[in-house]
Amino acid sequence: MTPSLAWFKNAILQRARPQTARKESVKARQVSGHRLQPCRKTSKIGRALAPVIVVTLSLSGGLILVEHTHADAKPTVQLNVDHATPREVNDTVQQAVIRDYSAAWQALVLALADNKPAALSDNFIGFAQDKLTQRIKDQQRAGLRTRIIDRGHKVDAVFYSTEGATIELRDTATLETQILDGDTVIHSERAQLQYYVIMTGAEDRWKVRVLESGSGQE
Amino acid sequence: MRTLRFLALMVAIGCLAASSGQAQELRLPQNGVAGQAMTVGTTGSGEGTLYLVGPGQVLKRQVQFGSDVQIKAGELQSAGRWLAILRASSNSRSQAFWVRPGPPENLSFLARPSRVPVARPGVISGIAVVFDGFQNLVLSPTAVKFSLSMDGAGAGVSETVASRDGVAWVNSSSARKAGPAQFVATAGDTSVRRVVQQVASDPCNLRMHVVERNKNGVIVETDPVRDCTSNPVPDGTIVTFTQTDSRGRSTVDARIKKGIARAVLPSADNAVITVASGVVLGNELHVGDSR
Repeated sequence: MTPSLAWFKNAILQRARPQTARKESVKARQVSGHRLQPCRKTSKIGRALAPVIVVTLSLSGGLILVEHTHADAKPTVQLNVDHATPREVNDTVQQAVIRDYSAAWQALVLALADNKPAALSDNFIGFAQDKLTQRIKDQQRAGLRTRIIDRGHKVDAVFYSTEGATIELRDTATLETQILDGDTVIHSERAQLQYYVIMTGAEDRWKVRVLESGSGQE
Repeated sequence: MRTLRFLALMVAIGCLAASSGQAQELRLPQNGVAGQAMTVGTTGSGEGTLYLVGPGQVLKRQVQFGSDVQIKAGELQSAGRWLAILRASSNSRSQAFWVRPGPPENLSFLARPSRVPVARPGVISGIAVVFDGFQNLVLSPTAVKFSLSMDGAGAGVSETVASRDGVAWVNSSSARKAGPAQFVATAGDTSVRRVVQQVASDPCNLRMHVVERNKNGVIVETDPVRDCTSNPVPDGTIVTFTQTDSRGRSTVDARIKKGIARAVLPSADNAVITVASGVVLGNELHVGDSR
């Protein structure tokens, strides 16, 4: 038996046998001419690193879980309607706008993370939907994904039309963004960004018609 | 212990290699405009990939470090915050830059309602949202002219408003004459037209008279039904005739046909007949006695 074949056989046997039988296999390896010392050292290092690896894996698992929780949760939206003109925004509309704008961001986060434009259709319409769909198609072509952790939105209503069908919002969003090429993070940042948003009343909800990033603070 | 030292050394070498890979730098356009050509400069040597990630677009280019990357006119269309990410082997560098919207070229015009009664103050609402040629919201103030005029009626109302955060709006009163009104929003060379149908308002001076009275009943009809600005109230509008006598009350809902509503009420010796349309009450008739 050649040394490499013997080592391969021993390795398989070692996996199959219980811990107490390991010494014998070490002996067998010595006989077959392999150096024993580095193997022992490696196993020592392995044993020393094992708890670290376990902790790291559980932490990364936890992080993935946290990220999923963030993606599944609706982001917080604080709406201020004091400066809305020409019409005052009543409580019912305020609640509806908060609910639907938050849902729109939740859908946006999911759509960009999974490159699924279909996730947008319930909350976006018109130019906003067209642009985001294009972005997702481009991401797919380039092999990219965007992971966003939404830390909340401070929103000012600046315009609410007299007939009550159109509202414009100025949003200061706090976002943690990662851009991934495959599974490799190629960009990571936390930024406060300003968005101009136009929402119009649709069949049973407000939908985002325009979502434009304005010049915000980094 | 020796192995740990070796690992630490390898990590240090890795860090050094990573920092040496950061020699590639990006020079980004400071005042980029959507749709216009622009240049992204790189420094360093070697090859890599440049990603430009924008609000509605992602561009990917293979680049030779040290050379400029040309973005052709019409290629970069989204205004807003962009990220330029330069990737070489396992290293990446990124930088944000802003792209402004182009000049106003498109208007999204919402005119509501599509049907409106005549002579109502501030009842027509026009909202214009200003976009550039690539559907980017133009945030800088833009003059938008709103005009509302009747077909062939020449004179109408017109108002120029500066947009704020991309939106210009106006409220206008409906005209005194029924018919289709042209509601036009204009910004620069772009005009968008909507038609607002102005219809007669509620009837005004609703009057009726007895046409015939016989043993079968009383036939009553209205004068031509018009609103307060003399527009004929549309056919199909309901007019209610009510007759009250000693036997009780009889009600007939009649639709206006050719401008007039007509009803046959039961014969009565002494009755009071009233007429109404919506919330408007007309005259009152007494039939069957000396009055």
